Amino acid sequence: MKNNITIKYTLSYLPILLFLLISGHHFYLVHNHQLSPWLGGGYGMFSTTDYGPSRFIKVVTLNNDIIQEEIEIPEHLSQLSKQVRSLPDNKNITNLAIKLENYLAINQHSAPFIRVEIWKTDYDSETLKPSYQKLNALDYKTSY
Amino acid sequence: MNTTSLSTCIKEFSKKNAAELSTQFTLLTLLLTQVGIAYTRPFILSLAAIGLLSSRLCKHPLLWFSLFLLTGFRVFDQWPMADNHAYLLALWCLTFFLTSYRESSTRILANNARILIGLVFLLASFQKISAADYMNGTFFRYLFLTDDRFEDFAVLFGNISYQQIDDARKLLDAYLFSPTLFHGEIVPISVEFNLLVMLATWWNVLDQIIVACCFLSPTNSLLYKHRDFVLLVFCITTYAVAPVPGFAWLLISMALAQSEPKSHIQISYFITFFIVLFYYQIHWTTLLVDFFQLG
Repeated sequence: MKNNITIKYTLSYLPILLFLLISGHHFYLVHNHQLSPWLGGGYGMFSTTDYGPSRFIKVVTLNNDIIQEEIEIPEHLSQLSKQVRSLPDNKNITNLAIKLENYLAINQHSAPFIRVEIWKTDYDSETLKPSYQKLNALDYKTSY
Repeated sequence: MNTTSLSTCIKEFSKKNAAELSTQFTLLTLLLTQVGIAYTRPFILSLAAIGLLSSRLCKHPLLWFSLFLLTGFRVFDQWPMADNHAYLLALWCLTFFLTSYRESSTRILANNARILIGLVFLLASFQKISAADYMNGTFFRYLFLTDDRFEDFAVLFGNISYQQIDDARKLLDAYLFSPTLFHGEIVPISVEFNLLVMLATWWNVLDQIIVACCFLSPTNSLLYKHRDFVLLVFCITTYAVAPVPGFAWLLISMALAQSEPKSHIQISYFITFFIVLFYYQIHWTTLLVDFFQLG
């Protein structure tokens, strides 16, 4: 009987428990996987310049650690690119690298490695002069 | 509409209990904001419309469970890009589902609403205070110069021109391509602009701290008694500028569930809901910029 009451009481406040879990998850991802503080249910919108427009991706192909060429991310991968900028963890970056490998293959391009780097912009508080900080990078070995 | 019919309307409105009002406004929010992706949106809109049209179905657990699943799906589908209020909306639909078959549902709904609103504002203010570039004004300085949605507001109150905003954006791009070279000053020299940045920074954070404190204060405390007033002030001021009506409508719908059973508070929320609708549809900053021939 007492257990039933406890379960009913907990269920009644389940939304608050879930809210706390989601925000805990947000802070974990922000601190460990560079999630943009604007996203992920942590209510960090309008609190920092570290969001979409201030993050960018740089993609190059590599051969024996030498940069071959810079690759522009194609339009059809823009949604995935937004996702990678928002949460640049290894899983998302690898996913983008795989898609880029396919895109390069279709366009008769190939390289042994694709390097994907995600950068954020910091702005000077008075002048807004930007400086850049690398958030994560990954060298993806292609099937070439 | 004469005075008698207006007072009849107000009386009719006052007869509804807080939970009933909150239910109707949440369904209206779902209709107005059109959340979800192409595949889920028709279902969300249909369920919201059915709920609004039927007083029996609007309390049905199945309706709220379906809305919880559909709104929650958006969070997973768009992960991690869903807006923060997408999470809150899903949790609020879950609250309706969990309270739809409970005897003490009104009290539980009210408690969930009050605590959730308090936590949202607590987190939002914490994020601002702890961010490296918020309290020093960097964020609003950057936002007013780079975000299209705020440029009319910046021109209206910051004594800067659209040309200066365009120049600032071009300079930011130039620094991206060659960061070591000097390309020019990005921020326009304007006392009013700096004042606007400072005011926006402090107003936003203080307002949110006050709302959080009021909603999370013990019941019967002085802060608690003023919670509805401070939230109304927040909605009327913030959403006049911030183009996020969906969040405002959701907050108002939730706030109605926990509001004092006084008709003037409920009517104030009702009016604020529609003020936000006007803000959204009528771009008052653009009208004023045109009227005063600024920019």
